[in-house]
Amino acid sequence: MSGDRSPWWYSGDEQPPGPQEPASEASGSGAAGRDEPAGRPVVPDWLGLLSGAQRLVEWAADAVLTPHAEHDDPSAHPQCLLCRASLLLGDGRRAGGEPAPESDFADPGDAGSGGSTGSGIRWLPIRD
Amino acid sequence: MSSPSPAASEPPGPARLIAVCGAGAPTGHLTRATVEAARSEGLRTRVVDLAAVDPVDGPRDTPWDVLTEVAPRAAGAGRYPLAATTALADARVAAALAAVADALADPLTDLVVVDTGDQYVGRALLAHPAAIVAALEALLGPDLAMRSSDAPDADFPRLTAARDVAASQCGLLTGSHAVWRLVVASTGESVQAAQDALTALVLLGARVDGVVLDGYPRKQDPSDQRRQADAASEVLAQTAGTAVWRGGHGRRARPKGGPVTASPGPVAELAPAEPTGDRVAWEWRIEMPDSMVSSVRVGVDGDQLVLATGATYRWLSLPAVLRRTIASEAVRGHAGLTVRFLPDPDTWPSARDEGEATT
Repeated sequence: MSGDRSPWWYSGDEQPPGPQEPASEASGSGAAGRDEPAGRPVVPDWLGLLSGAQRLVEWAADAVLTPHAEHDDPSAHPQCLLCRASLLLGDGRRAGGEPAPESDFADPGDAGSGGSTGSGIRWLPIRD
Repeated sequence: MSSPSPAASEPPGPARLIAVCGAGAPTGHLTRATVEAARSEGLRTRVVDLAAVDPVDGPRDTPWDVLTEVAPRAAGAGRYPLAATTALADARVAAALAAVADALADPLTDLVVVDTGDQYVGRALLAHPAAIVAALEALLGPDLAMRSSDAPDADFPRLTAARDVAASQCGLLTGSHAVWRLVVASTGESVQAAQDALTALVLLGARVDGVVLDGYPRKQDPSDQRRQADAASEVLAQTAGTAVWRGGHGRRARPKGGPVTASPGPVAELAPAEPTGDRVAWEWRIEMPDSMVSSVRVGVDGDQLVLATGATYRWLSLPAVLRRTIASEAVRGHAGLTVRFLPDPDTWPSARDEGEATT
């Protein structure tokens, strides 16, 4: 792959940059993945950082929010940040079910127990 | 769901709410056709389009808003670090629920048409209020009551009011006044998608009275497309437990005949019957469409019966008599499951006595 045809995200092939691609021109997000020569002073690229942060937010929206929309039962998705937050907030076990029974006061132990969030289910054998 | 009813039943009357939900197919055609048909029948119709709901301009102080605002304080945290992200998805659902409640409460509105778009949004609409009720009730403890003053804007009364609002929203989209219509693509692959979506919706309490094959090929379309659509239609008609009809641009909101608010056929729904039994054994039959019987798992969690498919769960409170029993197994049958229970000797003295007498 020649230097002038490399996509912006290509991290290089462990060779120093060629004459048409001087390392000193590396700036912005387009150069974020390229190898920097050793000993070269690092200058903060605020626009690049800002762009990166914005991408991070977009990534978070795609990676967290979109999958979470399909999560009906928080206890079934311990790897999902939002499901974990739901469980921490309270009893999410009825997320897909009927409302909790009416009561003036909930047992304060319920809030943090989380033990009833699916882990206590005893599945029954089903036969035809 | 206290009154027993068959899984496929005629609705008690014309619907006041029609929810249009898509599984791999656009919902716009059916929504527009439904609105046009309703208006041509003289029904004053309001549309709640989830894609157009803007939580920023929407109602304030929804139960979700209160929860995300008060929960950090109630939990003793200064800040809720995920509020900014969670608000995006759930605030839209909360705003949509508020809009639905507002439309249903309007005496000048005869019919509310809710376009949920993708089925996952529809499922979120069904599940959201109960989840919020559970979360709010978990917070409404004596500690919070002690710390909260009597001021109307204090945490405890706000959470209580929000809990009541969320509880009132639980039946907005699942009562006898509401029907759901599921839109799927007219392809062979859509059969499984339709069955999965139908199962999840019914499990969450929706009453589905139609599966609509969007973009159904016309006679002049290639014959293989037509054959695929015909095959999908046939399979769904046999298994969905509800009406199946052709949809798409320029097609009717429902099959010929009858008002748009009347269900054209049976309604697919989850319908627990009254438990039956004696001192030896008990049974609880849960009726549901045939297509979902094979994919539903059954479990117990305390005093709750758990029905699940994929990541969709439904908790049903056990009738009082079954709380003194031990669930032993479930049996698949025609249009439903039967869960079997044995009296718990520890809480059913007569069973204990009888057991001792026979051994």
